[in-house]
Amino acid sequence: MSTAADEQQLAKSGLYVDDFNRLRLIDPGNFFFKNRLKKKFPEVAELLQNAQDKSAEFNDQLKNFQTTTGGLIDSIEEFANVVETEKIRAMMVRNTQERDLAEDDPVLLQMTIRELTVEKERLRVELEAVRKIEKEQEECIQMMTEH
Amino acid sequence: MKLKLSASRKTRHTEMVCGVGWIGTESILSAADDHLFLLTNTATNESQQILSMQESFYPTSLHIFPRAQNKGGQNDVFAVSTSDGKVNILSRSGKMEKIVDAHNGAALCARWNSDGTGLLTCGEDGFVKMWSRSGMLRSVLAQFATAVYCVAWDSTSSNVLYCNADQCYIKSLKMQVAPLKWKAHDGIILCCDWNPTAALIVTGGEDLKFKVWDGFGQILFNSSVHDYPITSVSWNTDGSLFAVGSHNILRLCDKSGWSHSLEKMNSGSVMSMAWSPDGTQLAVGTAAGLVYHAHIVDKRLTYEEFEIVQTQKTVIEVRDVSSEVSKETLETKERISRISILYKYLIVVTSSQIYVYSSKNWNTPTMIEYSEKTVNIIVQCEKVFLVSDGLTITVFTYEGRKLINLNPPGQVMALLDERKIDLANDTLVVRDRADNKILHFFDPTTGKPQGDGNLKHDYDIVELTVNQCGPLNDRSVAFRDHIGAVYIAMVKTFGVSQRMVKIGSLVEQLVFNDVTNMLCGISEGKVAVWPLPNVAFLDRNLLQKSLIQKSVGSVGKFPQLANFAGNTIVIRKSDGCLVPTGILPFYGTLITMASQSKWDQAIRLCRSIGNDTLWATLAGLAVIHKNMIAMEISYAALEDDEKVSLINEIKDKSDKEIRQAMQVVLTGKLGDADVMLERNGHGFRSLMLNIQMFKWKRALELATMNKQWLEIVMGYRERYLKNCGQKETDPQFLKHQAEVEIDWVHIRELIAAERTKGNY
Repeated sequence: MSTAADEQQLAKSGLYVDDFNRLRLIDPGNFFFKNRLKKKFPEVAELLQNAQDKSAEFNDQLKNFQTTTGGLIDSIEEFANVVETEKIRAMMVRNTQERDLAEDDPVLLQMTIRELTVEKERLRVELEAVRKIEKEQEECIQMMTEH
Repeated sequence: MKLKLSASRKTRHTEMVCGVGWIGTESILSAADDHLFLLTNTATNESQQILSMQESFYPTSLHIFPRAQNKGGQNDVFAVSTSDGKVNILSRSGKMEKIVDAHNGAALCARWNSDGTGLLTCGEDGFVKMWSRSGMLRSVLAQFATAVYCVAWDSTSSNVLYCNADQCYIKSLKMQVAPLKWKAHDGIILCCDWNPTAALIVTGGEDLKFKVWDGFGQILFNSSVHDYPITSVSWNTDGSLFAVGSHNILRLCDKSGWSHSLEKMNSGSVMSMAWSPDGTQLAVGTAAGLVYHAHIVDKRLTYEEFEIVQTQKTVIEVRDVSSEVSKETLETKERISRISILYKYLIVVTSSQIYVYSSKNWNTPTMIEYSEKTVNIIVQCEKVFLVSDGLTITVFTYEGRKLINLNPPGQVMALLDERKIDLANDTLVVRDRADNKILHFFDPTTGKPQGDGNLKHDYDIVELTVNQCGPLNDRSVAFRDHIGAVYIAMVKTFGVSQRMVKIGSLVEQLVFNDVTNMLCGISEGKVAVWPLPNVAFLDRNLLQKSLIQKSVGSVGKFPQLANFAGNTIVIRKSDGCLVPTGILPFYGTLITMASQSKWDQAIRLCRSIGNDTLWATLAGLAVIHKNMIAMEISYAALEDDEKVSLINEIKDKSDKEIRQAMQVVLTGKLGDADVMLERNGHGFRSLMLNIQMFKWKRALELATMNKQWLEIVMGYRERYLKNCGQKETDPQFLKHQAEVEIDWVHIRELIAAERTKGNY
């Protein structure tokens, strides 16, 4: 397709390009030429006009289709993103759940409880011993202050 | 204390890991059923494949050739037993040094002894075989109908342990005797290990338990029932801890059996474990093909007001409990392997340096380069400290100056442990490594023998400790022998006849106090404290009277005395409880007062407390410092009339030599006093002393030697025999009987005459 600037350049030298991209000596958009054509071949002119209109209409439709599909693609892409994040979130949830399940394993829990009980008992005995020392030292201080 | 686990997940085995071992302290070698050998760097946690074996190569165990001297470990060889009955000796480069057809069916376990001169293997065919370093069969130790799953060497490589079904066997390699055998578990025994420094054995089996035994097969600890069989056990290199692996869990236990921590994993059963040479890191091979690297964190120490916690690989936190805000964080460049605090100095040992922090200034530690050897033992005293890998000893000052490097006498590969070495400012005591009956004394500043150099006892010595205070002449070492008797011995015995004296029995875990020379031990649920152990050389009665015993309730079979600082004794019970207990603070005060000659204050203190043990301590102090007044008062308080009258008698005497001799009498050493008197020309006094003590033969000897006083001896002898209702049978006395006529009036005259001459 030639651009408008090209066409102007051609028109200066008396050459024209018609709708079928053929080189013409007469400007096809020339009113007189059109009228002459209409008069000479009225059916052809009508057909041509008809085809021109149809093609314009088709062009419009195509453009319309393009914007619609573009919108659709955008929204689908957006949706894909949402799906992706949801998928990752779901995986995360599943993993934590699996881990929780492993930690909730009654065998392991029992084991942990046993360990902590033993540890608690150890600390209790230690506390008792320290309290005993405290008592002894208080007695000692008492004894010294009495004398 | 607990284990922190990490694993390399990028490169890993795809099958079960059956063998792990350490090359140096930074890399783990692992062998698995996928026929590969991986080398994992623990610093970066990255693995690389170093060997790939043929498809039929299924390892069952791996043991690195022991080389305590070589830290870099470039030429390491290791033994791998495989399921086709072969034992492969490989070098790290992949060179197959030797393949031995060891067993029919699978070879299940291969172990080097501590110096690498022997290799022990067992297999499905029930044989236990011993091989030389080069893979020559030395002997078949045992043969059973069923598989032997595990074997172990003892610390001196003179006994071996093997397990068949539910029985354990210990066979001596030195003596031709039937192996010691006992039923250890209710199921098949899957794993066993022998403590590298002591006669302690840990076993684990299909009955879901692990147990600790002594070298005679007596049980020391029986674990609770686990959920899965115990698949592996391993002692760390200094024998203070062991690790136990089961399905998905890993336990870190103290040598007495109680557990420090429990780690949960998610990779199946623990198939193999190995401790790093410095004893602070553990390599764990699991059934899922993961090789875990674990290191010990949360190690906790307390000293006076400081609490020290190793929180990470390279970070230590110091808290001062006396002030709420004071908290220091100390960081080192490399991984920390060992920490110790005493006398206000914190020692931190890393892979290649030793940091010495003073508690006055935590910011600027003294740094010592020390990368030749690993450190298994740190012993501190007031002015110097020593580090040891169990084979050699290096002594440093707290300023960081290296004093000596010492190879303890004795050529055995067995490692020393903390109970066989002790250090005071002027004396380093170490038990001979070959002959357990001998103690050696060294000067820690020069490395030369100290005092008498060494001491030979009649029995094996199992633990020792040395006192910290006073000059070298006060230095004494307390030790326990294997039959349980406790002795105290002088390090320097110039001019002293008695060197060693028994002070008790069935007392374990001897520890001297840090600021006085009090000695403490544990006996059957009681804490025993001798405030003045040295008084044993002077007056044994006082030793018994001054003994402080304090009940601490049940401490279990295997209590440990953690420390004795100031007036507080800390005991680690068999179940892991740390139980502090205190003694009255007066003993320490009394000792300090006496050393500063504040006798009036000391006597006043005793009077206001009015406690016999305290009076006995004062009496002991007075005897040691030769203070007659305090001695008299304290003996009087103890109602020891004889001693008091003797002291009064001594006070009357003006002659110095006689006084000295009488003081010797006071300490009960009559023989010494006798010799002393006689030598100084006090023959008659010596004679009378012997008569008073009924030492007739010596009295007669003196009388015949001096050619006089025979009548006196014979007279007293006769009276003595009459009172006892006996007749004279001694031929010597019978011989002299005829020579004299006993006339009591004359005897009294004779004595009176000597008295007027000032001889009695």
